[in-house]
Amino acid sequence: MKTSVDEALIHQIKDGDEDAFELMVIKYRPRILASLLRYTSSRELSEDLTQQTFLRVWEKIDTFKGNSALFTWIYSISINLARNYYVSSQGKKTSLTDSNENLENEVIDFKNPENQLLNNELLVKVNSCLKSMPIDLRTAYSLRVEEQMPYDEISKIMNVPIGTVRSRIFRAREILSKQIEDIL
Amino acid sequence: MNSKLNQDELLSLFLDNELDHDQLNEFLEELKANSTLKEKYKTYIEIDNAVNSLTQIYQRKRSSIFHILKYRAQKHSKIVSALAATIILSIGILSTNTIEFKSNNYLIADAVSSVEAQTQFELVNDELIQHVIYLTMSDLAMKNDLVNPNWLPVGFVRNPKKLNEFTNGDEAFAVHIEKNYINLDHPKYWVNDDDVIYLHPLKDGRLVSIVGNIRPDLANRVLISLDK
Repeated sequence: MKTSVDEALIHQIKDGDEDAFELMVIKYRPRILASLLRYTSSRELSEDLTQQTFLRVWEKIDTFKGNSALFTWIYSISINLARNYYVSSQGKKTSLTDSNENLENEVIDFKNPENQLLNNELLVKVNSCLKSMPIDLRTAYSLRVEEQMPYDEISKIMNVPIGTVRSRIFRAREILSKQIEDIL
Repeated sequence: MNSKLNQDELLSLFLDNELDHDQLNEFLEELKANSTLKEKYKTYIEIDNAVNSLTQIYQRKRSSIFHILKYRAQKHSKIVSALAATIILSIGILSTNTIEFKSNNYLIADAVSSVEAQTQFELVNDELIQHVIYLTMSDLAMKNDLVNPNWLPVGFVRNPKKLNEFTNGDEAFAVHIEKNYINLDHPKYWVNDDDVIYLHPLKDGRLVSIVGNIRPDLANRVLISLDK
């Protein structure tokens, strides 16, 4: 029987396991920070709100009932904190405006996504590596990561044994890891 | 079986929720205690996040390019999204195989629904399916550096910002050229409403693919002109 990683982490965090909490933070912090950056347009504020979010998660994990995905729950906490910040700081808009000046390469530019790509070394390298990767590897990996398909479905689509899917996805990750190891 | 896997392989399975209950808990304990493994965990997560970011970027990029050109932007966006979402269905149900293309759209409709076409699906080269899945899943595959900048299909204009995208006002498509590593020896296409994925082996050993809302007969003429 399969148990999701999130279920296992939640169970252990509820038992007060700080190491499990750290693994959860590693997993979700980048996505929470990115969403807050889009929401606030402020790196400093987003970092602060991200930290507050995970503190809140640690404090409130017992109230998480599993009615939504873990990420959804964490995301809602982060957005509520951001909203509360703006409600309580309506008279402090000047400081927010000032902080926007240093965001050129940090805030996702919806109007010019190509610039966003060019300005991010990690994305450029990953993009380049994907293009040159053998098609069987990149297809298996893309179906998993972009489409969130389980291995057995990928196995049926690609008409290969599940062990081959496992191997292809792992090899794709390894190729990508080696390409980016100098910038992480 | 998993005892034969190394820790990094187990990590990949862990991230994809592919370990069973006992394996997962055992691996979690290892991950917590092993700093090298934890660094790898961070790296894999960074990579997965980067790939998802790229997908979002390219989806927006495709949309913005077509908006600039003012031709059926929303429609195209829906096309690509629909193809991405339904490609598996398309392969299973709508797949057709043009052995000899004839300029008659009705043939396509017949071919799509024919028992023969659906039977042919079973015979379709596995690598071909992978190629089409990848083309329709993401712009990542749509390279433009091999398209001759002087080549222009009759009646079409080129997107000034993306050399492999063309429109004639009503129809729009992107061209992708690469080595014919899947050894396709005759044209094949998939249709989905107004939209087509058309693969055509070039005489020089490369494979050209067209993706967009373009009639198959027109796509075929465009590809033939590219092959000259």
